[in-house]
Amino acid sequence: MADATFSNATQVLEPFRGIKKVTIEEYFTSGHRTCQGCESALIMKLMVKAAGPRTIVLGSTGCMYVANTTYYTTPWVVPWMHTQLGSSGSAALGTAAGLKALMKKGKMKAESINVIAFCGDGGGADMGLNGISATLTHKDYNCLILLYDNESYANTDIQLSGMTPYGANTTFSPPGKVIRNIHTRWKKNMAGMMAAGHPECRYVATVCGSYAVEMMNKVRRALTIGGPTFIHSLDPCPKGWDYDPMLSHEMGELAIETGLFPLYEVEDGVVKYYGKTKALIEGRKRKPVREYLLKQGRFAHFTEEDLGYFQAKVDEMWEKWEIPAVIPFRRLDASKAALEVK
Amino acid sequence: MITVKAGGLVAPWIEWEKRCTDGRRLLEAGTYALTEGAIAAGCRVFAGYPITPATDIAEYMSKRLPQVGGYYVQCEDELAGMHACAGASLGGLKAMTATSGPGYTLMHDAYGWSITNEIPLVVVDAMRVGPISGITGAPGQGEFYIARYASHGGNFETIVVSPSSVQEAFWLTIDAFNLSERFRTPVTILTDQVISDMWEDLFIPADYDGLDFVRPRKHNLMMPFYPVGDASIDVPPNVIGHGTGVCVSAYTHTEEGYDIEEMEAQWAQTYRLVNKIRHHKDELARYETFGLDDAEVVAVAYGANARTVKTGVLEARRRGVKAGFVRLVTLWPFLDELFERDCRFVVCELNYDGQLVREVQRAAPHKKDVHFMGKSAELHTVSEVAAGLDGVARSNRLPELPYIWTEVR
Repeated sequence: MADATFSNATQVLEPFRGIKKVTIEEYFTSGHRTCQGCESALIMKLMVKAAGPRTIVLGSTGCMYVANTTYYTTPWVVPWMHTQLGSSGSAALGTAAGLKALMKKGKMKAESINVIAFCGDGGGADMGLNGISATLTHKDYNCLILLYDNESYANTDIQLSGMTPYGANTTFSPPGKVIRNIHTRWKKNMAGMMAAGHPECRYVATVCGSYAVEMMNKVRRALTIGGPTFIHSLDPCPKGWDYDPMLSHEMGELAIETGLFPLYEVEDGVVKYYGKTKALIEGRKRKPVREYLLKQGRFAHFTEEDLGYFQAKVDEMWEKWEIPAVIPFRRLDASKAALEVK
Repeated sequence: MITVKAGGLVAPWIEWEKRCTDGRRLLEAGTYALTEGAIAAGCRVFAGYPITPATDIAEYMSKRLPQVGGYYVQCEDELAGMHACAGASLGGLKAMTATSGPGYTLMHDAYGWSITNEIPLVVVDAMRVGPISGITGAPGQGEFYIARYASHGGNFETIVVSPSSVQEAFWLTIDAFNLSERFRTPVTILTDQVISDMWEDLFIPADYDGLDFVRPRKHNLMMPFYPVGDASIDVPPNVIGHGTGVCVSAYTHTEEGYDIEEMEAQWAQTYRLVNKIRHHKDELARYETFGLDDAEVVAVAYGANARTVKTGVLEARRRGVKAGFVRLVTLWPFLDELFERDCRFVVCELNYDGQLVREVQRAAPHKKDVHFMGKSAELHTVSEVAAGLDGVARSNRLPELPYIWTEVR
């Protein structure tokens, strides 16, 4: 089959070694209408800066899509496509396949064109999960899926998503006198799920906008490795999380220092922690989650009991999981196993 | 066949309003009225997904349902939302979901499944202008046909109703639940962005438990899945696992619910799905008319648009045009009888492609007497409607008006 033998163009995007080495050109500039302190806009800007000018960005409906092309204004310098909700993975796959076909037929110069699907937690982790999962099994096409997770449906004014943390106050889960926590489901583990279940996906990473250079380097690594890749980014959202916009970076840092959101990359099945998460793995003490939770209005109704539950779940993630904070598998401990044999 | 009553509104809630004297008067939004109507009708499960302009319904529901012992479920998309509602209804509770056009098209798989399995539930579609995502904050009327053909495969009829005020949205929601229970089928409330976002005077009965016109969920615990080949509808809905056989299947099925590939079973099933609605059209007719007695030209509209069109008709009358007015509340099954009269029609709707007008053309005696005034994303103005009626009354031609489309091909 000619199709199988025609390989993707490859590229090597060297990591930026320090903030001073980052290129000066911007491909996501002025002209957007995101909120003050929006980390998702920053992630978009850093992502496309890392990818360079030969990039197509696409993705499904979300706050970042409505905010970025309103009334003839757009910050995009590279081609950009807004697809239907839930279709980011499939649309990226189609775009990558189209480019590859043109290159194969010689109608287009064979070169590396980055196809990046940028989807929110609603469009990526809830509705678009099947499309993303299927795309990550197509090893013949180069596309990066970047999930920007602001933990709510920010487009329709902060509703619950599958990525909203336990107990958070959203317009669908208002705390009341009788029932304090309407939302009692624990957040999905997207990066872990993608890494564990997609053998053709060679690179999965988690990033945070508070650590910009590392974030850009993960994008560059994913694009260098090629094939379908996945990055999960935690984006503090001043409006949805209810905190002062100047604290956005601090929120991201706290999420990592409390161990709630680990920073790691999984390359060809090998887990590598980085940044402050690496220090936590190496023995630095995790900050208590209350420092992170109580700075946000959406957890203002939390009692000591809720904080305790939250802390226990995070402790479990670090102390009980076989690969801490990545995949929630546990080995049957030896004594228990012995009992079961009997 | 229905017998057309000329003049005024024909709807069951005229009686209901007279009986409900004790209650509260509020200034509230259409979404609030739809929510309270559902709670009053006994809806205890809402499963859905946020989408402008129907998000408020989900938000009100997330607050109200826990207060009345109901369940609010947020799903990962609209398809899951409607499937969850169908499941809830099979499980024994009245259920509702709410969405807008983009979500409504996603629901169609579940919609067909609910039709074939005769599962009562209510879907609110707050239409916005399209195609696809269109403008979230502008009204449209583009789902007239989609609501009729809400699934593939043919061989079914659907029930679709449309309110034109906040107060009517409240009563109509109760009515939609009653119809879905009686006819064992999903019912669509086709509202639009104006009605759902608009704030208006709203009367709400004080005590929902005392509303004797609400059709209670009667369970069909020891009866066949449906009476095969029978258009009768006096069979209450099933609760899965209670004497209904073991299966609920999207395939053609027997009265026990088992899949079957025999033509007789197919004919019997589809005979019922189509005729249980066609044979009982008289129970489904809800409409408003005025001035039909002497009308030479009749304006036709539904939903929010009908409000300005009605005022336009009054204005035309003031100018001396013998104008009449028809507002459809029941959109499907289509009330052909309303248009079987020898006069000219001006159909006003919020789309450029012409949907309602095609049905009026089909039902009216002379196709050339049916005119189309299509507008996109904005309600018709009173002067546009009056000018249109005036032109049609004089010369059987619509005058040229900016942003109004008149061509139907």
